[in-house]
Amino acid sequence: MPGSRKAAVRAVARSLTPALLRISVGALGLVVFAVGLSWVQAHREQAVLDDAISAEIADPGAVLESIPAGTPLAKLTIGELGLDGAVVVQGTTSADLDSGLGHRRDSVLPGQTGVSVLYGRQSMFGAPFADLAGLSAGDEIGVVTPDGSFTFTVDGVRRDGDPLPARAEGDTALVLVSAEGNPFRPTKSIYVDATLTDRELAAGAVTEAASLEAVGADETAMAADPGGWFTLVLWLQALVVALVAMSWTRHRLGRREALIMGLPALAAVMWNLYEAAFRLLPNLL
Amino acid sequence: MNPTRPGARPRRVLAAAIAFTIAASAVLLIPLLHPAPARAQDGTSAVTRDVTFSDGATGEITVSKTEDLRNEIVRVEWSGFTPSMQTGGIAGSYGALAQTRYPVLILQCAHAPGEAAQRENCMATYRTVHPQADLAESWPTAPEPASAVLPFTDIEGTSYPDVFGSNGPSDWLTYGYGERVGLTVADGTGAIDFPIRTGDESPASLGCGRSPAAGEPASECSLVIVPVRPMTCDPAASARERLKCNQTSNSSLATHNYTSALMGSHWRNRIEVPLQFAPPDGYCEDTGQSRLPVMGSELTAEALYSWIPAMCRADDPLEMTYLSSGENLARQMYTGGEEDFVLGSRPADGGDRPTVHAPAAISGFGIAFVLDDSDGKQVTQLHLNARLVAKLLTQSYTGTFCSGSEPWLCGHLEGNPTDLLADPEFQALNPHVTKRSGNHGRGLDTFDRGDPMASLVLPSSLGDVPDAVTQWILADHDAAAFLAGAPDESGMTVNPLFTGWALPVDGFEWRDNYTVAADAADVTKPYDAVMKTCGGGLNYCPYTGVNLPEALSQSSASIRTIASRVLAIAQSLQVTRFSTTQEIAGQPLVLKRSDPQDMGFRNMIGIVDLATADRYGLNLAALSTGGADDAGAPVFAAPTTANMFKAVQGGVIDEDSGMIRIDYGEVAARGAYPGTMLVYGAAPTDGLDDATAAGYAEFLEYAVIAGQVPGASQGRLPTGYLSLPPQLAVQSVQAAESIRTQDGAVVVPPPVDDPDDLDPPPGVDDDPIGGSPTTPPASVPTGNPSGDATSSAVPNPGAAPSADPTSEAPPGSGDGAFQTTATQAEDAGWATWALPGALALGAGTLAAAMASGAIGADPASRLGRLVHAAAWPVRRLAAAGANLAGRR
Repeated sequence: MPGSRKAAVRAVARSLTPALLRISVGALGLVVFAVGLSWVQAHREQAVLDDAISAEIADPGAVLESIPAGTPLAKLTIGELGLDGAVVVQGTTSADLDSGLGHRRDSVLPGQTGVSVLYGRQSMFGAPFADLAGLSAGDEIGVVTPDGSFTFTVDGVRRDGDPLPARAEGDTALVLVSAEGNPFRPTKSIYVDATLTDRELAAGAVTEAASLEAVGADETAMAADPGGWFTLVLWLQALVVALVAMSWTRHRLGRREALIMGLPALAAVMWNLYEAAFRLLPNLL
Repeated sequence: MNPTRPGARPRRVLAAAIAFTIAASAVLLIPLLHPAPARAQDGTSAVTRDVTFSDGATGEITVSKTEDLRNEIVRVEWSGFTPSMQTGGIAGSYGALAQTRYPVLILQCAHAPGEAAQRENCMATYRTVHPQADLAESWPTAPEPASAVLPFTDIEGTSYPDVFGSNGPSDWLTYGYGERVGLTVADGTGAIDFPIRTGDESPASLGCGRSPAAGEPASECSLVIVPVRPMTCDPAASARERLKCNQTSNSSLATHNYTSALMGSHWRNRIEVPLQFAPPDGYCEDTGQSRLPVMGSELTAEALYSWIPAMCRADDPLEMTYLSSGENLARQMYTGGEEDFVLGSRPADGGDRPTVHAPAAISGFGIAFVLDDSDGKQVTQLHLNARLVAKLLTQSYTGTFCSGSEPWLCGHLEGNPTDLLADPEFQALNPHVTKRSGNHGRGLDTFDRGDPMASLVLPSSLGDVPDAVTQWILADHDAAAFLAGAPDESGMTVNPLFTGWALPVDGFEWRDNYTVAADAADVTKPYDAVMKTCGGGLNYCPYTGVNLPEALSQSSASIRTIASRVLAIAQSLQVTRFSTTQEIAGQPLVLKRSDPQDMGFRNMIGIVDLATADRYGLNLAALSTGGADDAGAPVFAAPTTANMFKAVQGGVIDEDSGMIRIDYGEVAARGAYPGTMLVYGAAPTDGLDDATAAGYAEFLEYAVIAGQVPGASQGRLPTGYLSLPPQLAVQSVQAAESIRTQDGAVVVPPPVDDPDDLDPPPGVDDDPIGGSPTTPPASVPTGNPSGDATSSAVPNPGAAPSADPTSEAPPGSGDGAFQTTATQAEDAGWATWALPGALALGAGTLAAAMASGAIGADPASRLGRLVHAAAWPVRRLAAAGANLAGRR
């Protein structure tokens, strides 16, 4: 009987539909987060960090032997990239780069004698280094830290196989690292070298690195942050709790009430869930 | 992520696996390939140890000498170690040695008698320990620090948490850091020359072989070899510790380069070789008796340090003491009657005392160099002619401290090369020395270490070495013409400040004062120490308020310390030009002696005496004899006993003193070593009391008979000397008799009329003096410019352990000369497709859900109407398509 077979297929499909729908919402949400919400988040974080670093620049605190990850370090201005005072934080894990720019902890601080390495996102979280490959020799990079303001001049873009620049001890240089490829589809890391050409030191400036720290595998270029798995699982549990609570509310109070109460909670959980998920993707994405 | 954030990094097995994979692909490891150094020659006290590492692997290590150690070079060789690797791909980082994985750190450690060495007592510069990498050693667990510093504890128990610069023990500043970094080649072998420090060089920090106080036993020391290996995490440790160890060992370079050797996980693999030290140079036990003083020529110091202890330990002891000084001072003291026995190469005037001169030793000056070529490989052979030495002596190279915008520094030297290596004349003579890239021919890559190749490290005392050097230069036609103002073939001219420099001289001079007034109009300010610029955008800033000659001239009161304290540790006497933060803070600029030069980037050259240079394994240049071969090419002579004997044979006897003077015309004719110098003892033959006269006579008899037998043991003649030809020894014995009997003789002539008739002494051969004593002979580098086989083709085996100069790769001598590699970009891998994948998945499942009718199936619902509306164009299009198909 063709009619009943069709009905059976439709029944199976209908029973699968909620699962398909949830997967769809989840996957598309991921895309929406990457394209939109991560930018919103980075914008907000940049605003908060900007306040912190501006206060620090105005009144520098003590020199720290070890700077905690996530601490704002410097403001980066690159006209060609449309960056105007973007804040660089300490650390280069996927999580540290949630505000866009991070400083690799085993390099000196920007402006100190030596090579300072900064990582920046290519597509997400504000995508500060989206057009990094577009920089060319002679472009100027401004860095303001509590130690003063520094101007670096771009030496060139370095890709896979290009020779590393020869540097003398005592040089002060900056290396910007990001990914190249289409937006949201990074292929390889690229590097931009820049050398200090001008600077204005603040009073009490420290120009020698206080200490360099060892970095983990999750802080190298294109590395993912495996700590994200743990966070991801925790937020998945939170999601389950939220869904159960919503379902309970719907039965007890009604659909509209459940949506009013549940959606904000659900949104918050999903936001964190996506954030955790993106820690598992390359830090330069 | 920062290890100080506990709990921020919970681990799952999966996470660890992913971290491992990423770590493995994050760093590209390039195995280093270079030739295996040859095995050490069997020394009498060489020690070979089998080693079993904590992970079960085995190896072997040999130390060439462990007993009777002085301040000297020993060779450490090993096999079965993990091959060193140079890491690439870490963008932006440089400093090749710090990027080398699995090096071997060699240290000297003090320890209590019979006990194992503790890390706190080891002379290592990098003392930071990560607890994760410190599993084998007990570490206070809570609270766990991110990293901790192991302080250094000196022999008095003073603890130094920071050993850098002036914060460390005082002798680290004087003699530089003591550790050496060796590399292991692909087959697991490696070698390095290690300079041993006795308590004389490290009185505060180690005190090896010396008593801290009278009556106390001497401090014991060991040589400790720490191979940095891939970390195998302690299986006995807790799971959490193992995981942390795994994380550290797999991810962080900083726990696998030479700075990590003190971390317990590497330290537990150490090999300790106890060392035994010889007494100090020229040591005699104090018997309360007064000692007979001899004073003068430093050329005899090494021989005297061998003879004096042997004489005072003989059955019939003779106690002597040696006071080194410039010969001029010694002769003045002798003339004034304050000294009764002085050593020198020219006659001493006894005033009213009749004086005889007795041959004591034959040695000479040499020009020693510590030079690494563009591959970071040590250069072991150089050819220098008199004109090149004249250029160095007259400060005629501009040096890299001088730039066009500072005319007062180099305007008077316009057109001259920056330094020796940049001189076309030098390059023509030494085509095997490849120049480092860059504008300057110097081998040094840093700004703050002066320019050692623009001038020689010179003895400042007045005496016979400056005389001999300048006699040789004066005898050379080209060099003399250059000094008189004639340009060389490439147009280089002498520094005008040396116009009219009357040769020969008794002392070297630093005439160039590079003067500029601090308020001169073209002096720009302020000076930016990090940018190394002045306000006007100069590359260099004017020297103002600094005594420039003091900063740049390299003088040492003692010629021996040029070998032992300057060249042997590759630490220039030039002071650093730039301070760092001091100037910025408005404090006065403080100049300090430069740091030791980095292995692979060394360049320094100086005048030394042959015996001291040989003791410290310094390479000595072959000097131009002034002669030419049949083809007209200049002839060079290496310092060998054969070439020295030729010079003695070519000498002229001075009838007034009975001394042989070197004839530089004969040196040229015979292809002799022009640095040869004979040292005579001068003593009065009237006015000495019997005991003193007998003592000096006895000393001379010992020195010229037993003391002329070549050998390494005490009382013998060390390498660096030519034994006295028998006739000269006879002359000395006759002179000794005159001194003993105080017969008033004024000259004791040698028993030959012509030095050509001298018979060859024992030990005359073509083995060059200098170079590392334990190094197997290297083959001759190409580019022998003279074509004279007997004189210049003598291979000069050097301190570079590489036995194969044809190889392109650097030697395993700790040279940090690995070139930076190409950029290794990191691949995004699957992540390239992560977001497109998510988009496809989302769209696909949404479409499936719609197709299954879950969404929008009910046209009455709100969603249904929305879908219906959204699908309207599609439906229209489909209908149009169907319509079109139907018409056909």
